Amino acid sequence: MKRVVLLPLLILIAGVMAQPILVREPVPVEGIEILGSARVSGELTLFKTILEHEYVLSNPYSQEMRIALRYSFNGKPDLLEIHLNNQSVNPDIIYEDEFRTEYRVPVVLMGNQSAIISAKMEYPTRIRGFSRRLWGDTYYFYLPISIEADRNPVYIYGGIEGKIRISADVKKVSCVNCVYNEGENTVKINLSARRNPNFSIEIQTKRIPYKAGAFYLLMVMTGFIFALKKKMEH
Amino acid sequence: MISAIVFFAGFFIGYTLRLLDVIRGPAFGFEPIFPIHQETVYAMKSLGYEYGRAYGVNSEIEFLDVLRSNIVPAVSIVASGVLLTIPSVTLLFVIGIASGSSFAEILEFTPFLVNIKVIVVLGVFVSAMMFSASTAFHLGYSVYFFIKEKRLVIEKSFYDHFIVASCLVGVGIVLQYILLVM
Repeated sequence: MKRVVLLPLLILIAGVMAQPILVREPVPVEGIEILGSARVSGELTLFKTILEHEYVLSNPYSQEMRIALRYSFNGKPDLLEIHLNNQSVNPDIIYEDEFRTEYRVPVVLMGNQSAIISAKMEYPTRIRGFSRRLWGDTYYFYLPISIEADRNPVYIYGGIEGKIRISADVKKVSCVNCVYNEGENTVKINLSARRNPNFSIEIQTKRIPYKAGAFYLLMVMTGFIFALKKKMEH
Repeated sequence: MISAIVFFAGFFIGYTLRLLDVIRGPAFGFEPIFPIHQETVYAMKSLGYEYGRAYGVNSEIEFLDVLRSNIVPAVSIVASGVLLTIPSVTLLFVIGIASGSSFAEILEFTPFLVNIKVIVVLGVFVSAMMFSASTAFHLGYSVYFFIKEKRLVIEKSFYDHFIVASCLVGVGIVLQYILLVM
């Protein structure tokens, strides 16, 4: 009886151990890849983000390529000026509500040709999370620009370089794909030879909640005096 | 007295947690039983502050919303008195936590005039909830007495507290609408 149970069990264990280790093969990426380099410069305050962005996009294929740049903002931008090959362009509004606005700029890249798309933007700086903290806030910056094509997924291969100045009294700055210089209070970006190069900045500020703290002390003191008074009575 | 102790215990806990940033966004999920936070966010937004934007919530408030979110907690507290008041006490305690955590935030981020408005509105709302809880205690006691003695006895103070609670809920609705929403 024991042998009847043990034999299939041994076969099962041997079978499992004989399985080849699963090797995850790289998934071939479908879509088109265009060459692009970007330059950014700007200023980041706690209320407003001022950004100048310039894309040089090159079509490495011989066929014409139709792409679009999408600009997404937290809130409505105070300023958005876009130039395509030094000519002013009016972006299409594709989404708009109280908290988010999205614009689209269609770009036609002729075969083996380049285009320069520059934009000046001013928009509200984004607070991370749905609610504010009493002892400090976290502000979040990322490039509000993405690229899309009509049919295939489209990728940019290239880099970003530039500098963003932080004009605020900050407690901590966290950078992804960029370097924060504490002395100059600037963030430097120098990315090259990457697929979809991007970066983000997170700023933490410090605050002392005087009003809420004073009321809390008042509550605690009232409770303390009440307890003391009751103790004296007894 | 018991309802005041229950409420202020919750209020103190909520205020402490919010003041020390242990919890954020106090009233999310509590809108049906604690309307004042959302109304204040709405009031701040209409004043052109960035405060409302931080929530990322498109909170349009109408009179019906104010009416609903004041009547629902009051009715829930009073009616759950038949379950020997345990749900009423729990609801009052939760409202205490929500209002404490909301008040810390409102006090810190809103200007003095809005602070005063919220204090007035919150005072009326809290009084309404405490009288509702008091009514629920009478109701719970009547149910307990009925189970024990097989005789239904309703004290006069039940009716008094019920009338006061109803009036306070009505006044609270009007005040909230006038001071924060309109």
